[in-house]
Amino acid sequence: MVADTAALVYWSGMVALFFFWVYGIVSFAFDLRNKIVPGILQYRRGRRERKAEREREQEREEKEQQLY
Amino acid sequence: MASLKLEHVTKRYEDVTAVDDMNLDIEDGEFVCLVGPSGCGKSTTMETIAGLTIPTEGKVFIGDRDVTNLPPKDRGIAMVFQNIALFPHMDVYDNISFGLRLRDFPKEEIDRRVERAADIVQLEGMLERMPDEMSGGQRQRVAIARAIVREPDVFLMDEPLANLDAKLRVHMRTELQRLHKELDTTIIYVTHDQAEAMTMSDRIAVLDTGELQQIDPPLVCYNEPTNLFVAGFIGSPSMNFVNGSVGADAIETPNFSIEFDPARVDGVAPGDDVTVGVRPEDVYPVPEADDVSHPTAAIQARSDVLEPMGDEIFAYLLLGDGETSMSQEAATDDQLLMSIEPDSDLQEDETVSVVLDRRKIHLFDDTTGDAIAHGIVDVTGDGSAGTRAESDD
Repeated sequence: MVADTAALVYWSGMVALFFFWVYGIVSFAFDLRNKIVPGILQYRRGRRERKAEREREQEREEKEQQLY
Repeated sequence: MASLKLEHVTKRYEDVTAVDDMNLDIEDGEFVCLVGPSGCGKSTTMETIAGLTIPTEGKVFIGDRDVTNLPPKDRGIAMVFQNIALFPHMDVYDNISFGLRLRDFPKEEIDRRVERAADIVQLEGMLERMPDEMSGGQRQRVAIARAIVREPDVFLMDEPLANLDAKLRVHMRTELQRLHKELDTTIIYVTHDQAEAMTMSDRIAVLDTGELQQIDPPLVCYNEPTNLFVAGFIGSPSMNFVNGSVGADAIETPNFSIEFDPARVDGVAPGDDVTVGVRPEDVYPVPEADDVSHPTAAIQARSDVLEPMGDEIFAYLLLGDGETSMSQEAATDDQLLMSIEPDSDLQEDETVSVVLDRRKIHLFDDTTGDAIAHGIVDVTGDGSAGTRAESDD
């Protein structure tokens, strides 16, 4: 009886202790997959696009200035 | 000065064709306007000529030179843009001389050309001003002077007056005509304003959906449009269009019939469906129709809305059981737009009899939209109708 109670307290303690730790790891893994990595990719893609757009505009402006 | 030629020029952006198999032959010293609605390909055509865009197919010639793949600076052209694009930190002199300084012209030559250009566009005494100290019209004149100093073979102007107010636009229109006379240079001018095109150009090139519809002198485009699009686009307000079918001795429309001998016009036979076109100024109220030598039978209508314009009144007429429409285009079978004298005593919601001038009635093929005839009476005495529309093939 005492041993059962000790085991119950032990496992309850373990669950209370590690639940949020495991929850945090799993949650972080999901965040990494669904938010952080796509966010970084989107940011890098946006930067590339903005750079290409800037280059296109600059090239266009240079060409227009040839017509001044 | 130089001629300009586009040979089968096509420009595609992925699956969109902006310019489709464009052929243009512009003579030395000619003033040609490219007109059309937004998205018709006129600016893309201009950019192709300027070298800002390389065509997907076809060739561009300036004079005898194939310039298709040359950069803008080597084409011998100067361009005036819609947004004017002056350098805000440079005074007028520096703005005008920018292109020459870029090409390392000697100082004396730059001074000579800038003074001459400033004189032409009437900017003397303003060479030290900054752009923000000038009006819109003056800034546009600086942009034109910047193009003049280059002494190019061809001037390109992309809606240069679009950002100016109505009064200034009319003034600058005259200035540009004077400039063309003075310089006698080839000018290609893009506009969606048909009044600009009609008043300034030697020829108008009408574009739609990337295709050239007609290139002719302004009055030819107005009086002998090649198809329904040109007929509807050139002229303000637009031409009236009514659907009809050819009978044995008349064209029958839902609300009236027009006496007509199909034998006199090639390509029309009884039973054919046609679109009848007539301009508002060729519709006359019966009391004022004495001078019309070939009127139709009187058509009964009811005046709907009157728009006094000062020098004329636009009267929207309802035919038959036509319902009142808010549409500004007289484009339905039940409506007719008429232009009448400003002192006319016609009132709204009044019954009126009108006639059409049969010499000014246009017939269009109902299927293709191509013009069949301009004028449906024998005015030449040789048995032919007023003017036969020329076939493309």
